[in-house]
Amino acid sequence: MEHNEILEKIAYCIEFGKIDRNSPFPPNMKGQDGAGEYTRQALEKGIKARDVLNHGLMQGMDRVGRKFRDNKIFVPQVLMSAKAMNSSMEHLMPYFTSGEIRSRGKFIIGTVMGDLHDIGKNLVSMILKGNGWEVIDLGIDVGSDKFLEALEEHPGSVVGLSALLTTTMANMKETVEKIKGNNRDTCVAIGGAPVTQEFCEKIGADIYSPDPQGLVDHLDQRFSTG
Amino acid sequence: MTRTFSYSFRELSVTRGDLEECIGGGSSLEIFSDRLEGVLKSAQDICNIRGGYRVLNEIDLDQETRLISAGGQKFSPGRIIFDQVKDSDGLLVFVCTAGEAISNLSRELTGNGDTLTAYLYDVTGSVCVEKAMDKLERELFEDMRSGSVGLTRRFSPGYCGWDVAEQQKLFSLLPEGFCGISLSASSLMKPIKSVSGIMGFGPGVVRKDRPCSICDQRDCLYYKKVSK
Repeated sequence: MEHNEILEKIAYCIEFGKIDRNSPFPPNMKGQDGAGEYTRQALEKGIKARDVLNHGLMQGMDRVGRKFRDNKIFVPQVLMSAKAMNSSMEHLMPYFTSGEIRSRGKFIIGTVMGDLHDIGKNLVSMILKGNGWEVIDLGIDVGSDKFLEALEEHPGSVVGLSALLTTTMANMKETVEKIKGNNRDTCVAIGGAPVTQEFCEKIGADIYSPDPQGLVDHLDQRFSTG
Repeated sequence: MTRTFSYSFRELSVTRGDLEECIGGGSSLEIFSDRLEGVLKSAQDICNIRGGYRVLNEIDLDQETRLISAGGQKFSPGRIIFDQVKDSDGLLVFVCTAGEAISNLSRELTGNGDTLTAYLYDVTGSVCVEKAMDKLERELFEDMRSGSVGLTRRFSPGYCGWDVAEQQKLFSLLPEGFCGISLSASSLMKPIKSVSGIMGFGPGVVRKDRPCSICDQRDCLYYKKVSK
């Protein structure tokens, strides 16, 4: 199998949520190799880990993010794709550890204080990981101090705040103020059902997107290394 | 006067189609049909569906300010909801939950990495509590109709422009921990799979269509249903 062909296989498996040979999803690929096997094969064939990440995993998750944004696929399909991506990522972890491949940056994410919803946050995490970001997930009901502690531990990270309620959305303001008060250059992204671009500007956050792929696109523009 | 009710999961006739409608995606979810069926089957033993309501017979609806006074509280539900309940003589304040266990299971599954099943349980909890309220609403509607009394649709804080923070006022009208449901300072109900809201009733009440066409809340589950 040619290098490009195997990379496309990885991207395809991630796009359609084919984790590995044992996975019954999707039914039309039952019994076939999945993202895990193809990633191992790619590395065994000498394809650089960076190329596997960029042209396999990221390509696949990019398609997933766009299809999700365009309502062509829905949460269950994204979750299966994320599992397929994780299966590939396991084979790449040693290369991250050795420094042979590097993440595009660190992204600290959490659902703000008072809010216990996590599905949206988890979807954003999955799609960011699939696009090469290292995600530090602080979970739900996260206070400003916890975000600041995480920033101290991971300086230069982008911070993502999620909220589902208008009441907890208000807590984003305080968190953004504290983060910016600590370091005004920290890039803060916000999202969640009640959040708008207007609110983003009002509280001094840097990025708002109604969907995960929009966030990836914003980050690509802002942190593009050319 | 307060009343409580409970339903079995079976009584609500939650179907795979209900879950698919909530998730979106229609036929593209066919590949998950076994998993959906499995979740529906086990949800029967997990959901603890119960709720209750308080009937407030003395209310005041100020047509100018669009404020609803009931039980010592003043609600400001916004123009859309006020127009739906403005002919009411009384108000029914309700809560309903699918129970704690389904959310706990969903959280546990997420922790174990089975995010798909976790999500399907989460959706099942949401659908279940909405169907319970559909059933209660239907029953109350029929009961009242036999006495020539009309009942409005149900409306909840957080929908149709009604500030979710007004949930604090709503809960203040119910006994503490009513039906096992509590409210956080940020107006989040616990168990998470719970709903609360109001319905108006009275001889002059005419049940109107859902006001989705004049509401701009496009991510609302009712809007999604209507727009299909």
